[in-house]
Amino acid sequence: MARKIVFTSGKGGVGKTTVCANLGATLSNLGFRVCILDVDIGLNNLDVVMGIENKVVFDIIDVIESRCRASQALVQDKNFENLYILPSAHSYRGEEVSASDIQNVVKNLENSFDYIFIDCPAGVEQGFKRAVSSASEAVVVVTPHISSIRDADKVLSILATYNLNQKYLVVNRVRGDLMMNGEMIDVDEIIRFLHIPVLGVIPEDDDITALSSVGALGGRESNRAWMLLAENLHNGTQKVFDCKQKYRGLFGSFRRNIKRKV
Amino acid sequence: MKVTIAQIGENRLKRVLVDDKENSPEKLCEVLSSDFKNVCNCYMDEPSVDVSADITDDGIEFNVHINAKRIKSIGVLTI
Repeated sequence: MARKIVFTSGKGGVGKTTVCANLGATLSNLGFRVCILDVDIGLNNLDVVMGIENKVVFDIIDVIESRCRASQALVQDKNFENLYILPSAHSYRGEEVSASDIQNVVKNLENSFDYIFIDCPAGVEQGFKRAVSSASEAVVVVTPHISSIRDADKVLSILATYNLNQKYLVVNRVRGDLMMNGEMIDVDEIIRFLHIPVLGVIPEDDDITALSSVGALGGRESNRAWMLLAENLHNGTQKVFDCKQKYRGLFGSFRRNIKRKV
Repeated sequence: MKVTIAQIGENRLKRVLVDDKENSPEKLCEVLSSDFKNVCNCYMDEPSVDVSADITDDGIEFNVHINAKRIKSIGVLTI
C-alpha cells in the first residue's frame, strides 16, 4: 500500500510543485512507483511543470464525477516510466469537491503505487483541508524567508489537528553563498524555529528555473540534494545536503564574492 | 561586533513567531480551559477541564471534556 504524503507550505511560490515533481522523479528513478495528484483545482500547474500538458485527456474532476476511472486519468511521465500524474482541472472552481472525494480517489490508487504525493494548493482554506485529509504524512516546504517560515509555522499548528503519522520539513531555494556571507537566515535556525524533522535541503538551482520553461525536471546543482531527499524519505535517514560546502575555503570565498558581484 | 542581515532576520522571525503563538488555537484552548475551570469550580469539586480544537469543513470544532469528583450541594454553591 502506498505512502500518502501531502506537500504543503501555506505560502505560495515556495516550490511545493517543484519539490513534489523532482522528488517523485528521483524515487521513480530508484524503481518506486510514484503517483502525483494535483489537487490545486482551478490553479493547477503540475502538468506544465512536468511537461505533460498536451497529454492530459481526463482530470481529477472527471474521476470524481465518474466520467472515467482513476487509472484512465493517469498520465505517465515522458522521461520516468514509474512516474504518473493525475492532473487537476483548470476551468473548474472546485467548491463542489469535498475532502471525501479526494480520499476516494487516493483510495482507488493506493494499491497500485509505492508513493502517492498530493500537491496541495497554497493557503489554509478548503483546498488545503481536502489535500491534507487525504494524506497520512505531510511535507512542509519552506524557503529561507520570514514570510514563508511564518506561514509554515501556522500550517504546522493546523496540521497538528489532523491525524498525520509524520510531518517533515524541506527547506527549498537555499543560497549557500548568502548564508556564508550572513545575508540569509541559516537553515539550522529554520529547523530550530519550526522544530520538525528535516527531510532535505535543496539549493537554489538556475537549471530548475531554466528547465521549467521546457517542462523538464532536475538540475546540476540540486541533483545530489534530490537524491538525499529521496533516500531520507524512503530509508528514514537524515542526510542533509550541505549548501555551503562549495563556498568554504579560499576558492569558496572567491566564488561567493564573484557570484554577488556579477 | 557587526550584526549581520541574517541575524536581523532571525530576530524578526523570532518576534513574529512568538507574537503569532499568542493567537494560536492551542493558546486559545488554554485560556478557555482556565475560564471553564473557574465556572466549574462554582458547581463541582476538583474539576479537571480539557479543551481541544479541531479544524473541520464547517469551521473550528471545540471539544470540552470535564471531570469532577462530585457536584457541590446547593447550600455551598458560590454563585
